[in-house]
Amino acid sequence: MKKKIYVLEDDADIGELIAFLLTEQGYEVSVFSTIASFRQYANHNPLPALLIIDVMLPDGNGLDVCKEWKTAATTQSIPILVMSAYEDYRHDNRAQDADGFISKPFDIKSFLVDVKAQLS
Amino acid sequence: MKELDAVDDSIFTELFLASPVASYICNRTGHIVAFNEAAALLWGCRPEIGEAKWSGAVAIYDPGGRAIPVKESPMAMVLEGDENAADVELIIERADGTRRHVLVFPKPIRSSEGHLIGGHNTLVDITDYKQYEERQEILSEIVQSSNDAIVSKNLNGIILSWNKGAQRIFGYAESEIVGKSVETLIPSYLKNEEQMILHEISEGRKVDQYQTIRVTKSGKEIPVSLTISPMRNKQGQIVGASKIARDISDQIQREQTIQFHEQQLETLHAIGRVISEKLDTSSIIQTVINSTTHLIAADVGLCFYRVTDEEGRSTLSVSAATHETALHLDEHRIDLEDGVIHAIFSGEDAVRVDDVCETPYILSLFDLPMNPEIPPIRHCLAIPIRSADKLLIGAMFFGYSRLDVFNNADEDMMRSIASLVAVTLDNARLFEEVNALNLKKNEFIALASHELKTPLTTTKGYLQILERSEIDQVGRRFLTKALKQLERINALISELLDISKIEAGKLSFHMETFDLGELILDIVETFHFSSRTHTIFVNNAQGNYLVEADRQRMEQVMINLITNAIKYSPDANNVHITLESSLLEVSVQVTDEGMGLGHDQQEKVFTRFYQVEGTSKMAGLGLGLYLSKEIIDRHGGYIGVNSRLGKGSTFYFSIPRRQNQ
Repeated sequence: MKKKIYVLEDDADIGELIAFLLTEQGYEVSVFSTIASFRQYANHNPLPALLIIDVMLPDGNGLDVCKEWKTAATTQSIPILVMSAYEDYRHDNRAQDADGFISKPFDIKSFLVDVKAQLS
Repeated sequence: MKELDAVDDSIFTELFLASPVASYICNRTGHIVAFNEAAALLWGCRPEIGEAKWSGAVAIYDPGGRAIPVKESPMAMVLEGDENAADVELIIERADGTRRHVLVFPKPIRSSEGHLIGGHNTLVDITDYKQYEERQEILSEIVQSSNDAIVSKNLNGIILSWNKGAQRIFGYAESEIVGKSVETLIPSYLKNEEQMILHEISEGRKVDQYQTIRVTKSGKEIPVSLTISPMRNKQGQIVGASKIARDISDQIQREQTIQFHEQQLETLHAIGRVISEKLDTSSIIQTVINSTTHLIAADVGLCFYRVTDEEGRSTLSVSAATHETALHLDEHRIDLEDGVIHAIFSGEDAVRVDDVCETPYILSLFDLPMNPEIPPIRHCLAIPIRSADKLLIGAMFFGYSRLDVFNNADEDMMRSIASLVAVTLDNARLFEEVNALNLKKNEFIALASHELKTPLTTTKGYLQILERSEIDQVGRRFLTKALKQLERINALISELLDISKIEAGKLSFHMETFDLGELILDIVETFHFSSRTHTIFVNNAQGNYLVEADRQRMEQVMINLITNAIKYSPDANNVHITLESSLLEVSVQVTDEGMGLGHDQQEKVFTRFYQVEGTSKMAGLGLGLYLSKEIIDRHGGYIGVNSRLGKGSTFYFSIPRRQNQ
């Protein structure tokens, strides 16, 4: 069965790029452009194998979602990659339990290396 | 020996000739028939007997200096029968042109029948006496006309003489004071001073320019400078004292005026200094209000002023001072509405409020938690503070409890100080504005860099996907170029963001312990993919290079140094990286075989926006080495370069293994 990856990214083109790259690698990818739509979906569907979160989202901060998932018992074991063009978020307290930080713009090879490292 | 019992003519003749008093005899017609030696001496010539008439002098003048014709001379008058011509004072001119004062005593000579047959004249030279008299008159006139009081007294302190100057200064007429004690002039609290002075005088010592206080007839005390000298009689005994008293009220007032102006200048200087040295508005204003309140001897000084904080909010602040000290109003803030300030000044430069009780809003300003010893404020001097564009931006209020306090000099001074304060407030406002703008600029750069990186992410991703696909060689070459340019844009955006963080003091570091050698090997590996022109050798890669540092920032430094090494050695193929370590630090050298740097360039490469001349095609913003230096400095390390033109460069840095924080 394909591993599920949820992507929280508001920029449609980046979302599409990531979806393309990961689908090509054989993953099942769902992209969400708002926190609200992500929560709505996640509440009624199976948990993913990996969560990739952008930080600056139209209805909130992705780091809050990260902290929330890393605190909740049901989700804390799910690996999370935080992704931002703003380097300072790498050291934000809410990101301290994240499993990796991806700087935008990223190199697709290293991006895939990072993803695979979390799913192996 | 025969006794002298009768006097004959020969004795008279002898007496006449030998007498020290000048005498001569004329006949009826006035011709001189005889004169003695004393007369010849007096005239300075020997008139020819039987030729010269009436007088042997060259000319005769009355005591006023008017010429008298010789035929109207007293001798001529006597020979005319005028008996009244006797005993007059004359001036005679001698043969050598000098003049002598003489008293003349012409007398007629009558025959035994009583006929006038001639006359004799005696001349008494009174010139010396006259000169002495004149000198006395001059001295007396000097004493009388002196502006100083010149007084003499005996050793009991009784006043003997009193000039007009003394009358003018002390108010007593000569007749009122002569014969009285000099203590009349001495204030009661200085009475023993006279004992001291008399003691000095009786010892023969002079009292020179002694400054003290004396009392006038009207009871007013005046400052005087006394010079008192002993007076001696002909035998040299001290019999009294002469005293010269000078009224120095004017002098003292001048000194006080000078002192006042000096103080004013000093205050202005101090204020100027504080304004140029300090940027903190409230401490400047506090200094200004402290010194001005003291300077114009006000009981209370207040300065209201408008300040703008970092968020652009404008608030009214107040500093206060009493005559002695600053007044802290932390808990007692005064509200002075703008409307009130505007109403007070309404176009005026300064306002004098004679009775603050009649203007309750000013009275309330002085309702302060003050020292209870300060009496209630009665008067107020209010000075507006206007900005360069004439806007009312503050005001100073000086409160007085005494009456009769306002003067133009103070007001002028306060007006100049108010304009200095206005400059300060204008500067402070500009400073805040610049700060606020800078803050906005940094916020904007942060936002812009984030927004610019979003399209970069997609562009780079899609180009890399294309790169993997089957495309011809030309297409691949173009793709590589496009990706390289994307990396450049990305680096530029990151550098701009870093610079704005350095300026804002917000470049933060996240220290962790890692092996710098391993990091360098990882970085070099990525260059093997992207740089096909150069081979990068790493020497001594294996070893203990554990450091406590910011991993991303160290990566940034290494990428910058390697990128530079490749960029500035377009005709070479090798870049060498050498690691070294000691107990306390780790060092890295990056050596290229490129164009090298001149001595001047080596000094400048680490400065902001510096670009090596003639390399503008290659360069970015000229921020890379500046940022690298900032990063290494903040790690407590050092960075430098060794280079020779045409011989390549070695950039090196060292960082301590542990951060002392």
